[in-house]
Amino acid sequence: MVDYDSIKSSDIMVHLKNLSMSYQRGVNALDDLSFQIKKGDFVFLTGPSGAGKTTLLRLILREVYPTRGELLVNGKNVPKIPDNKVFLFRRDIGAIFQDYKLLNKKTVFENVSFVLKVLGKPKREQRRKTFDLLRKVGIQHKLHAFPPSLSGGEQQRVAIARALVNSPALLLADEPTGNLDPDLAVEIMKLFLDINHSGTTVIVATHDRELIHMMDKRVIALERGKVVPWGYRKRVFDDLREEE
Amino acid sequence: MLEQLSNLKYFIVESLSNIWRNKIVNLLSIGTITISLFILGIFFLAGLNLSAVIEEWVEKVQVNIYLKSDITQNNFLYLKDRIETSPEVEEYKYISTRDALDDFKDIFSKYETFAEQLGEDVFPASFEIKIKNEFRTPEMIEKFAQRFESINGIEEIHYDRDWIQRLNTIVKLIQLAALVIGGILVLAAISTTSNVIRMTITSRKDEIEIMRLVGASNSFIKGPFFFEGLIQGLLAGGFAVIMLYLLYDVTSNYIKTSAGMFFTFMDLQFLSDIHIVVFLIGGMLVGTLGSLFSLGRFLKV
Repeated sequence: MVDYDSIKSSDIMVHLKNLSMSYQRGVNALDDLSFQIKKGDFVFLTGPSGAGKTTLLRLILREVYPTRGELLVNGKNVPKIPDNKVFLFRRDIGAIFQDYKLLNKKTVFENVSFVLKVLGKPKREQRRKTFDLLRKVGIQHKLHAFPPSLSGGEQQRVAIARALVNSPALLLADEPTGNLDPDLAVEIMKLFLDINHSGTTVIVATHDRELIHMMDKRVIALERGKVVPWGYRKRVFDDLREEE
Repeated sequence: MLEQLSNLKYFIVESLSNIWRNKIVNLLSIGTITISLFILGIFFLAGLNLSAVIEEWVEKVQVNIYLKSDITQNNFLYLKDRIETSPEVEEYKYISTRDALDDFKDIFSKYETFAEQLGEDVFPASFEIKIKNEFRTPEMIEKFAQRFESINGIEEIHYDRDWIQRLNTIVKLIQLAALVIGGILVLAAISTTSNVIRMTITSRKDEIEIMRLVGASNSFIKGPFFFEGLIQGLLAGGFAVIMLYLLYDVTSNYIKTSAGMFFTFMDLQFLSDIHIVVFLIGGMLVGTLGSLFSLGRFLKV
């Protein structure tokens, strides 16, 4: 039995123990995962498509429920959070989704400032922080555009700005550089490092090996819902490369 | 407090822009609420005005005792005495045959010559008796009238009992119909609103999901939908009042100009200010209930 109190008070941001999740009976999307991510960590979550990266992020955000096991995030027993408290829990988490999930009927500016509005922040603070972040992701020239008129890379940057604008305790990024050219990807990683230095725990799901190598951070590799040694995966890749 | 106010502004702006964005569907539900409130209003106005008419008539309730032309002096005096000493009588007036003829001429001035030709005797003399307020029930009037039946020299005792009872029944029927039909219409309006709001919710499912994911509270998400119903209802209430006023205007003009002599005394009443407020609030309630139903069913976390 896990001692919840000690985890709550400790410096653990994400705690998984024997965590399993299946969308269908008998098919495990995640299979018996156990690991911890400390507060202030910067972690890459990697693995081939279908390995369970996105599922894990969705579990952490309480979009889906685990089938078995324990999941504590930021001191909260995630599956046990009452429905009417989930929104409070999510306010501490910034999430960048693979499909961006922008509000198409709101402008770029509104999409980002919306998060602060939801929190009831004063108008001036909303404007200041929103401008600041849109500048940082390099999309300040499209403030009044609507998402459908933007390119994939631009939408991605809006999504990144939205996730960061609230200085969340935990940042979940699902393939955040998937649609960005390498230079821009580096810029975004710098941004993530900045926010990481100011205390935010960062989890980046990506299969971009270059990025992972460049950053030299902790890597959690998944394959078919299980944690596998990153070194092993690296060796497989290297073997493949040698064969080429 | 400031936060709540700014939320309120956000809710109202959001719901207005949403109503504007989905004009057609929203017109559907506004229209349904309007029509139900309008029909309900027609019944209400009819009841209101008929009650006023009845009240006026009840006020005028009088017992007329028509005398035979050959009534003896003794009988006449005895009758007069009995009337004077009856506790039910507020006041009474003796109308001679001449008075009756003059009255007729006053009321039907067109037929003056015709009345002259008939001569004095066609209209019997009578006592017009006004009954005290506390005795103005059909039963008491009947009892009162019966006490005079045995006196010789009386042609007929006349009072408006049947009419009053019939009118009372009609008003009760109208009120019942208003309740039943109005109730059904209001339910239909609530269900239409609820369906329209459900459509809006469905069409904005992605948006709602995103709002949830960035930590918007339930009430923050529901607010605009709630106000959408409320505004629909309020608009519908306003439209219904306007339509009722137009109907009232046309009808009362028609009565004044063309219904002839019988109804000229009758000034139609319109809804009082309080009624109008009740109507608007009623509309708001219908819209709000509609949106609450949908929110309860389709916006569970």
